[in-house]
Amino acid sequence: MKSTPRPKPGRAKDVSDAADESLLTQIADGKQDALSKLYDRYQGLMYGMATRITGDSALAQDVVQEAFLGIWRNAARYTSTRASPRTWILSITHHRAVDVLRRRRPTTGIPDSETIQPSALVGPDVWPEVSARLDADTVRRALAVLPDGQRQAIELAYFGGLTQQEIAVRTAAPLGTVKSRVRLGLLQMRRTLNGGELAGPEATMDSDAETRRRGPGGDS
Amino acid sequence: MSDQAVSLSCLAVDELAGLYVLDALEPDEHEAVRRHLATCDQPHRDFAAMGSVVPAMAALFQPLEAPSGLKGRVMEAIAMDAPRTRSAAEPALSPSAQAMARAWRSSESRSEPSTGPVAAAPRRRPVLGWAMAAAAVVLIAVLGAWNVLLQGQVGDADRRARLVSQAVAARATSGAEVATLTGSGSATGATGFAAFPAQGSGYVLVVGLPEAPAGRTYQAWYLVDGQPSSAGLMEVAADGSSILAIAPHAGTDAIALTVEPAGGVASPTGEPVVTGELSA
Repeated sequence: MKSTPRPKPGRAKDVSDAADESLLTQIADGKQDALSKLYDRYQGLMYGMATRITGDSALAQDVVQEAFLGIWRNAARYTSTRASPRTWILSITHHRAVDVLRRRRPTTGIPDSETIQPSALVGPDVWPEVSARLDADTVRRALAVLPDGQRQAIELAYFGGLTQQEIAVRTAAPLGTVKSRVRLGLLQMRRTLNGGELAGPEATMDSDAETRRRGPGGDS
Repeated sequence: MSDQAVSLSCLAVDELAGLYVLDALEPDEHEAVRRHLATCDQPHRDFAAMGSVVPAMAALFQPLEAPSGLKGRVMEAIAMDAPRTRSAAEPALSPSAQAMARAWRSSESRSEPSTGPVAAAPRRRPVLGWAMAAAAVVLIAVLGAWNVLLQGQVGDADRRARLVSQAVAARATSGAEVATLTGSGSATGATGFAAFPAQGSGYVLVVGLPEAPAGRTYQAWYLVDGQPSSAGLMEVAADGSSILAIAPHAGTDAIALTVEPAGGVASPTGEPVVTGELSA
């Protein structure tokens, strides 16, 4: 990942967004050459993500191909999201990667929801798009300051493609604990990243305290 | 899954927000949350809050140059998919589309994408011979599903106009394999062409076609060594024209149209009324 300078909040769209949006509009119109250009722009990001999650080059190629089919079929609906093209494209890729991974396991795949807009990523403010441009070091630090259990649960889910149940088994934690760890971890990361600087130990301890207060599985 | 679809309270949904935005819920829960969010009028702010972290986490993946052959594969899949109506509610389609793409890929040379798949087919056999019609059933399963989708485009005027221009453009590309179609019997006077460009979708375009009799329809066929397999149904517009975008089909020697019972058949029952042999 190229380290992108962090944009000022409020600058939700930049030049490359505009270019990508234009490509998506053309793709929605059935223009294959626009998809060809989008491929050139995103193949590295998508293949890198797919390879990391699936751990297999052949599967990763399937993921990228499926993701582009998803983009091709759903580009018309992109315009109704408020996510940046990059966020939209990468969320489709992540979803396909996790899906491909789970198809190979005894448990069946997650719903075929490439068509689902990443509504969860469509915040009421520009923060998601600012967030999308944070550099890797910043994000890595925000993860690193989480309590081990929270960080591990988030990493197993996002990078490992594991489900809640699989995380519970892997970490020998009750389902409810997995749920609250992911939840608290993500909220803490948002506070950390949104604050523009790394939160001090207090914030971390706060979320620990919340975990303790709720207790393992206490929120389920 | 819908049998045991879970209904969740707003509170329960909020508690699942983190797992949901990370794609880490079990399928039934994921679906239940998705349905809840789609219909609930509560803001569910946690989803935006937690979901906003996810794009940032994408920064942690190292970009990796994809193998050079992947782009050709992707573009091929897209081209195969091109003619279908890219609307929302057809998740069932992608497996057949992929099977189709795979079948096509595996039967054709992968080395040089600019060489026409159909043009590369060595076979040139006499065209018409329905005797073996029953043999084509295997591909029907794939092609039938594929083409059922394509039918959605026919009624759509914009779509149709675009298809016509695509068909004409396809015929003009270098390396395209083209058949001149000529009507006979009940379709005497009809003319048209089938075109398979080196890459992407093929097209069948016929003009001067009489309306099919009530309860009947035109059905297009690929002929491979004289054996037909369905390429889809062809609706005739008020102006007597009919257009169909069809997937390239390895080894196709010729294209033919027959008049069949409405809804189409697995193997042709009637004589071809429009035919044409492909030549590069």
